[in-house]
Amino acid sequence: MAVRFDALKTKHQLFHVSISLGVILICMTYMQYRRNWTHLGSFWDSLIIPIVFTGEMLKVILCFYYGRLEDPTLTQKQKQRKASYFTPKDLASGLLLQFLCTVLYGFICIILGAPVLQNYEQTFVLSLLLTLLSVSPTVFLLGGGGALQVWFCEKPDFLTKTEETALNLFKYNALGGILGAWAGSIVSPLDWDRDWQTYPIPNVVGALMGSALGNIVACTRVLYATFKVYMSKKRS
Amino acid sequence: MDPFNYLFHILTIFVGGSLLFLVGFFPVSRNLTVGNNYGNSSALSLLDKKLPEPAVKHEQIILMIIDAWRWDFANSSNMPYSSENACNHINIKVDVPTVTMPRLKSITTGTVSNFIDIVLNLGHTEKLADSLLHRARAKGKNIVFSGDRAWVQLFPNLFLRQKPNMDSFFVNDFYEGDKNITANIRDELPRKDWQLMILHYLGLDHIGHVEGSHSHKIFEKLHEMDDVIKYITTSPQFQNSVLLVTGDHGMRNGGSHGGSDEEELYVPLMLFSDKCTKRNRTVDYNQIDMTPTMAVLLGVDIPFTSVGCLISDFMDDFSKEEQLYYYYYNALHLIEKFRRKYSLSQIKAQGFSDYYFWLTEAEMEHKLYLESNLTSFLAYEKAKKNYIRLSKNISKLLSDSSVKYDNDLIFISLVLTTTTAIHLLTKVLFGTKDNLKKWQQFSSGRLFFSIVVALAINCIAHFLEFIYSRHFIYSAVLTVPIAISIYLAIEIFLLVVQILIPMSYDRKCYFKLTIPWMLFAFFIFHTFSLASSSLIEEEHQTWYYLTPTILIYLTAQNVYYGIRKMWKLENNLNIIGSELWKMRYVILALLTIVFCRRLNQTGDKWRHLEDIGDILSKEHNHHYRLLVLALALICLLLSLRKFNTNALQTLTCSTALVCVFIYREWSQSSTLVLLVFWLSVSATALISYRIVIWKPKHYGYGAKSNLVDLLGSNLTISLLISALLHKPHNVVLLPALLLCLESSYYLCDKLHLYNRKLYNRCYVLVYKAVITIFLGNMFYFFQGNSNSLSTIDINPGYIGLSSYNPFVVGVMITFNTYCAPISAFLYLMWHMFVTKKSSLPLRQEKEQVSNAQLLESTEEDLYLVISLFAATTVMPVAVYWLLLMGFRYHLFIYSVFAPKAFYECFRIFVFYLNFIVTNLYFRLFQ
Repeated sequence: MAVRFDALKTKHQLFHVSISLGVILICMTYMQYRRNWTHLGSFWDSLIIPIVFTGEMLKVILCFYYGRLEDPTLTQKQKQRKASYFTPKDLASGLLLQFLCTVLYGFICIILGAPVLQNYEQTFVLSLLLTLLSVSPTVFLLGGGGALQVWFCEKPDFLTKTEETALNLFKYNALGGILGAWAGSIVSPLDWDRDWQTYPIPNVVGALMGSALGNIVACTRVLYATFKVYMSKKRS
Repeated sequence: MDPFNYLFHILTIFVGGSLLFLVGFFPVSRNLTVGNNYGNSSALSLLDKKLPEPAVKHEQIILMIIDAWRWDFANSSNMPYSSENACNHINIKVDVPTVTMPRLKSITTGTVSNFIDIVLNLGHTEKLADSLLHRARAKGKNIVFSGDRAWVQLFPNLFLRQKPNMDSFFVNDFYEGDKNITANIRDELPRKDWQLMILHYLGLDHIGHVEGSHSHKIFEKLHEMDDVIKYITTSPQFQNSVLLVTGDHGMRNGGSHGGSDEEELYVPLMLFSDKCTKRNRTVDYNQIDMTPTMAVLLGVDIPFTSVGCLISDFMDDFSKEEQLYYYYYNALHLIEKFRRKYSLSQIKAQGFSDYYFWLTEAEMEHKLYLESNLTSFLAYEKAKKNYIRLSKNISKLLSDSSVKYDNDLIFISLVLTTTTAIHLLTKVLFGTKDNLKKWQQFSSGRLFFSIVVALAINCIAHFLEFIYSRHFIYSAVLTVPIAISIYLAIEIFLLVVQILIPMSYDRKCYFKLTIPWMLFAFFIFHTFSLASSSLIEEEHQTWYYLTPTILIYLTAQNVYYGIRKMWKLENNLNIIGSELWKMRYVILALLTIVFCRRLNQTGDKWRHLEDIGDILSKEHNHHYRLLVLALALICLLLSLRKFNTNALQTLTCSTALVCVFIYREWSQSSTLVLLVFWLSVSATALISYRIVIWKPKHYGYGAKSNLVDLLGSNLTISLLISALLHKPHNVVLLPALLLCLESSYYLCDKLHLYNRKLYNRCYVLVYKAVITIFLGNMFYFFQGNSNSLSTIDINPGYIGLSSYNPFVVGVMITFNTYCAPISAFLYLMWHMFVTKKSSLPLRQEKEQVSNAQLLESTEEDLYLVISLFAATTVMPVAVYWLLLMGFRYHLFIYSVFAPKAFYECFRIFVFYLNFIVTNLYFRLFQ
């Protein structure tokens, strides 16, 4: 079995995953440092959102960095898309998309039981976090139009290899984050009488934990693939 | 065997097994209420020596109960006067359930409340036959009362004067009721015509329920109570009197009660008297010990039901001779109860003969003391010690032994229900290639074999005393469940063999369902969440969370596929908009769920929050309430139009709904309105049934649509009646349920059309069946139901009734409570028949299969859906019985797990009845 080992891709993947895990570690440290859980739901008082945002940006920058090496081999379509990336229209549609996603997540939170007439800020923070974990990386990477194409098309032909790698990893992040936030709610009906059982905290922490778990799974897969290649090389 | 027959038998067996389980788990207490009276009415004799009856010490006794007064509330900072001046201050332990009514019964009768009693007495608070108050009346003592209404329900006609609160369940009344009670004390204290005064303050409990246990109002209220105690004890009329202050139950940290936390289980008991020797806090007693103690203080007989022992700290007012008399009296009382409970052989076997020895010793010393002319202090101490030791031991024994499981019955029924459930599950999940033979034939040989084996097992078990022999017929009947379980076990075994080692190709079993992993995971999660007491208490949260998740998931998939399909043609944001617009009804349904879950707060943790129902029931929101009701009725009428093809039927339906509105608005002329209501409901029924009645032989293709009409009209009628029975703000749940069911089916069907391979017919059917159950359960909790017995709404049982009719009341309450699951099932059946493939031959020239035809269902599908529905309903219950068995020594067994057991059993029973009725329709009108 001749598996072509793409050292560059693996490096990219591992860096990507370590950024994600690092971000979550920083979040955990920050939470531990603040000790008081209740601020987690507030927008201005908590650093979770900025930290996660920085993390996602770093990942995108990482992707651009690796993508730079590919530049000479780009096809016409890929070049076209690259050119249209920083146009105002694309920026606007990207922002609109993220905003709509935040609203959608907020709506889903409310359907699943978030308070309707109060805790707007908490719901906003939670949905913003989910947007950051799931939708934003793709939008940052490809712009609004590109992101839509990626989601709703079978296989768009404008993606470069590095972008595909990154998108693959974003999937784990997004799925883990959403499932984690969803599953976090399980602690709230329990009768433990802890202050961290109040509404957005288990979900926020769950989202972070979930995305960490997703990244760990991704990391394991990458390492496993590397390991397989290594073994086959050793044998031959 | 016909699948419907099979399901019928399996369900019958399961319901039977569940009932057997409940009988074993909650043995009806053989509580003796009649018996010999010892004591004051007939003077005691000690070893042939007549004892003089002590004179009554206290002229007046005041029993003051502060609802939810937990033990740590009675400290010196909250209640300075009382904790300073109490003659005795002890902590007493109450039993579960920590709810007012059973606690009052414990205080007055001295019995440990048996769980089954609470369930049986739920609908109506039956008046007690024997209690402290009855004994006091028999002695000619007068009792006055003011406070909680529950006392008047428990003891009608026993009070000389009574001033019950206007509404004990109006929780927002913090002060008014208590002020009235205190005012009443001012009136009563100078009077001397009463011997026992009972005061029951509710304010503390109400504050706890509404504001929680840390509210500052709690402390204000405690000060107020302290002032009341001060007022009573310092008033000049408080002479030769005793004031007993206690709580009926404690208060959990959140402020509610009903469970078995330490804060709920311990309450203080204080005794104030004008002449007292001060004492410190002493050892803990039980709440039931209050009964004999109060009887002795009052100078009346101890009620025969009492199993408490005397609180010795309260006996210091009596002389030594009198003390011994009373100890002797209570000891005799307890030993009499003990004798009735245990046979001689049991006493010998379990080492209870010590008690007789202690009694004899105590009697000897007692006699010695009397003969020494009350001087032998040693004899007194010895006698007292033995009496107390005897009483405590027997009291403990008697109160413990009222919780005794019939392990043999439990075991038999568990085996039966488990095998039944597994049998049903294997039948649903596996099938052979030729579908006709998939319902295994009934084999009489196998049955005969099982009966013989069961008889043998039964005899051996009796011989080895695994099963306690009660009565011959009883033991013989036990063979039936054993035989059935053996028969089912054999079949399961054969099936497993067939799956593992298929004999031939056409008899090979295969897994016939496509199971959506998400539904399966949710189902498993819910089933095993029943192992956690707080997830049972908050079961509604499970449903409120899982069901919308499924709906959102389905919607997201639909939108995703829709956009993907359109994306190839043109790609812009408009497509997303148009896809979302297609989902408008689903989004409306989701928004309705958001609204409905706030109609009634239920469960335990968030119960105290104000909900829409509370807001609407306030007096100044009367108009909004009517508006909501009117809107709900109009929506219901609009959604009912789907089931009524007939214009006349729509007319009768609207008449009925108008009647509901009038009934809720002007309830003065209710009889006439209700008459019109029932008339129009029967007219609605008649319009559909006339075809059946007038043309009994109706063959051919029309017959199918006929059945659809009948099922539709059944659903209509059940919804109309529910609209009448529901609380006004809950009526909106009925159209909401229909909307949700309709839109979820729409989502399933659409998914099938998008991707026929991934979402095949079977997948869609599984989704429909399970989502019906999920929605049914969710709406069941929307209505305000919960897993605690206290939330059963008994008001609808009395609509239009002028007298108590247990059957009608029971049916109406059941119908109101289980309206959502019943309607959901009926809707599913109706849906299956509406989409049923018409038996007309298809036209050949029509080559393209239309969408509508793709969604048609066959007979097979109907069987699949019904059996899946049954299996999904039965499985959690079967697992729950096993869990319950495992948790039988759990702390919350009686407060959380046991009520849930009753709910589960009843739910299965309701489903069983529903299934039978629907099944009858298939038989009669198809």
